[in-house]
Amino acid sequence: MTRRLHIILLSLILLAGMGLTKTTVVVEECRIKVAVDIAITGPGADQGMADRIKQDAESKWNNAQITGGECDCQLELAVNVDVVNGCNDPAAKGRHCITVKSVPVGSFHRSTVTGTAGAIGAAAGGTSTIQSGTGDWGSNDAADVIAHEVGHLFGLEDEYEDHYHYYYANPDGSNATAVKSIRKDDYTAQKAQEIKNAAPAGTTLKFIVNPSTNSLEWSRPKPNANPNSIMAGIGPSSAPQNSHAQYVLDSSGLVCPPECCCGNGRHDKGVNEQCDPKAKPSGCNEPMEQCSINCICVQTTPRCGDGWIYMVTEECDPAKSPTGCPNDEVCNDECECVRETPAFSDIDGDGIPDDIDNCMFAYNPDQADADGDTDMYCLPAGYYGGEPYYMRFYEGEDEVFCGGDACDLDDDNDGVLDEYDLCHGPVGMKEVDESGCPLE
Amino acid sequence: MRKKLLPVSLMMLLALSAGCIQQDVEEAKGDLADWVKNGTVPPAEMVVGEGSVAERVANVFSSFNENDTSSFDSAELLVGIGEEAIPYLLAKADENSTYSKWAAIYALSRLGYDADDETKGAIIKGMREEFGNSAESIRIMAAGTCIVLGDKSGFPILIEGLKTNEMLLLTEPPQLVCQYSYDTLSHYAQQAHGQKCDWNKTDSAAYGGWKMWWDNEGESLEWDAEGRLYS
Repeated sequence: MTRRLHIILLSLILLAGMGLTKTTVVVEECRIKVAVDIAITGPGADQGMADRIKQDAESKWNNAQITGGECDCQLELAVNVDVVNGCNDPAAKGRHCITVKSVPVGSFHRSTVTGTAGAIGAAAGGTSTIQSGTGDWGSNDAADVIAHEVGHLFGLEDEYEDHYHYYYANPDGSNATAVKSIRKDDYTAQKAQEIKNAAPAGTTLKFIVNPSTNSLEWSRPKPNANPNSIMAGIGPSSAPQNSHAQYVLDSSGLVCPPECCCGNGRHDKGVNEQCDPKAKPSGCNEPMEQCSINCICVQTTPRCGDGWIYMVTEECDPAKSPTGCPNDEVCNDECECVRETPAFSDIDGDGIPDDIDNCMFAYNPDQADADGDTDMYCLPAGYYGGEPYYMRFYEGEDEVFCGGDACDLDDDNDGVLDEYDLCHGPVGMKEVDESGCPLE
Repeated sequence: MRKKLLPVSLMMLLALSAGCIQQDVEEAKGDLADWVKNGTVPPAEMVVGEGSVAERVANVFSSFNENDTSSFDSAELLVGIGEEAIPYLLAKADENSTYSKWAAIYALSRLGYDADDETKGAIIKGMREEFGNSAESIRIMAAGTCIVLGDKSGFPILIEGLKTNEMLLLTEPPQLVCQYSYDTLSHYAQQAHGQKCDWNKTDSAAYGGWKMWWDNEGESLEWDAEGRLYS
């Protein structure tokens, strides 16, 4: 009985262990899905650090939207991080085990991963795996550092290397040649001798000391690496590159299948794709044709506003540039060319267009004009007491003030300004006194 | 300045021209280097031995190989020895070798963090002596360590570092002097001036902003030992 129980328990432990993975790569739904399983331990390992590793790595790698394969499958990273009690903890079994040191901001720490660079295996059953690696990270590691180290956990290698810089100097110390550079790894004893022998007559070989380090090494991104690659160094511009997604595909033997070309924003010829609906141009004879979501060009029914002038029924199209109308005409919603209507102007906002408003600077929607003296010679003349007024500008005309009541300083046209007029209203031909009232 | 540069560069040149680099690497790869390289770093006590602290510190330093940067990963073992290593590390920081200084400051910046005030004072004194070092990385690391330990005298050095987009010695992954300076200044001074630099550009506005801030605020800046920040 006891023995059977032991076997059952052992089986359960083994099954639990088998459920844990390290790094796996699959291509599903046109995505290169990379899953990295990490166990962290050490004085700097806590749930906050676990959350930060997951968040920083996923956001950096996924926001970059890097793609690999001829059809541009996008890399999608999922990171699982748990805190364990040492790398021998059963919960760490089969996972990348990272020791996190407690490192204050501003203190120094070399963050490393070992055992995984270039270790991505060929896909078996559609899944590629990477053996478990170990690492030593710092609790003060910035998001870029974490993203860089997680890159190692899916097989990426560092993309920087040390160089030596040298030149040949004249006897007076001046440069006899331009500065040359050689990779430190290429600087073998034989190469050293070659460089020495290559010195032009009368010159001597000089190496340049790096003032930052007082050494001869100058660390630089590899020649074939983008200086802004997250694997070449860290900084505000550093980011994952398409070459990383391509590396994952190439080294695992996985492919981004041809059907993934449709909808990738590029018209890929040679993969049975007539067009791509997200590409500009899509590849179809637009606008007579449109690209379907299946990447096939389909005929479109002409309609006004489709950006195409269907000559049988349309003079123009407002969505086309140029519209197809003469310069002094515009294309309306019926795809007809029409004369452009001047812009409607109503300065005082009373609803009466300025060109027919009898007082265009005062709100008078009723257009009241007691003496009916508005005509083409009656025009705005200025302001009196803060109010606008009109005057007649016609030679030989007796009447001075005119316009709608709102603008006419003499509404009854008796020659006495309204503000002094005690008798409002028409007086006809009668004479009036100074107060505007009839004399008799 | 130049005098200090010459011995290091000349030694390196002699080694290079004799074609000794690869040979040196091979010879230096002892068990420790292999352990470190293979990622199977054993517990500190196994690596640094069971001798005196001085012997253990010396063992780690002897594992460094200037031609194999990964050998410097074992600087982490110095931190593992603990505060007892501090006096020996201060002595190592006083040696002429840039690499000895690098490893000593690397460990002191960590071990000093929780040390008592007297020990911190001794570390700060040692670090201040490196402010005139001809290797900028050493100046920067020493200044950064001072700031971490509560001594504001490191600020002007880091502000000058904002102008340098060369790599900080033996950082992994590679980090530029100006990036380290920017991050450390921003965190401890709780200020933001200009942009962080990159391989190909530095931000003069960042340097100008920080310089002005230091000129105006530096004298009155106080270390908050509890919050471990300056205000």
